[in-house]
Amino acid sequence: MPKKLVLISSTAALAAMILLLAACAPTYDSIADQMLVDTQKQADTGLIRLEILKTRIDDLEKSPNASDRKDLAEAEKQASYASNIDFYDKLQSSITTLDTRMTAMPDLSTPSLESALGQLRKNVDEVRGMHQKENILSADYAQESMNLLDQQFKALTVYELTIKSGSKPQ
Amino acid sequence: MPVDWGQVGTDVESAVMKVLGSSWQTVATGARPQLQAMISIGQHIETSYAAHKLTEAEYKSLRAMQKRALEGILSTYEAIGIVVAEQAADAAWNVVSAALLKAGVAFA
Repeated sequence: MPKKLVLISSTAALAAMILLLAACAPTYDSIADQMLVDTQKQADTGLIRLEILKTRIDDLEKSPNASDRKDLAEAEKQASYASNIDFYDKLQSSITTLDTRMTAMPDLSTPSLESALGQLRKNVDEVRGMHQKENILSADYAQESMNLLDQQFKALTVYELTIKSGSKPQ
Repeated sequence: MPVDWGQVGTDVESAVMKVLGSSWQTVATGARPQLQAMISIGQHIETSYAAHKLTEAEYKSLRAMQKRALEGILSTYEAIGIVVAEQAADAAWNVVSAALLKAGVAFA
């Protein structure tokens, strides 16, 4: 094969490879970004509410006033697993939707994101399972589980902001 | 004996670096504060447990969550493969567990 032809073929192959890699590079998705923010807010709102309720329950339990019994019963009802099934259903649904959106267009980051979102889902399942088992979560459990979920959301947010800035994910 | 969390942070970073090898340089800027945040949460969990503010089941649940969270965080880096992220999370957790056992925490 003449040298010139070899050079042209190699250049064409290289160009095709560059185009293919460019096509595989993750692109910023403002909808996924907003869904990520909304899902974190949803998780935080529910878990902060549970933390506040349990703190209130602990205070009311110490109260000598008979009139506080009714408030205690109401707070216990609101903090119970049965009263929070809707919160978990909606949060799990949001994470599934987020997963679908963030991994809909396969690219170089898809396996990493699937793994990160999988761990997030497992941790939400863990909190739900614990709530079901204990019926009322301790205030510290609600707070620390929220802190852990927030770190996971933050890592996904860093990923989104990296591609938003036009940088390649690390 | 109390846990030296400053030392745990240093040892966790070393353990993760060892598993990640050259990839650590790529991800260090973002991953280092994330690792430190996880250590800080770990410290809060241990403090709560020691103060009897968590049940045994809740404590075990949070520790399981910590490991998954770290694995998930490391997974978000393209430079770190999924299997390596799992190995790095294991290595980090071995360091924390060893420190807790040394400190006499029953469920480390």
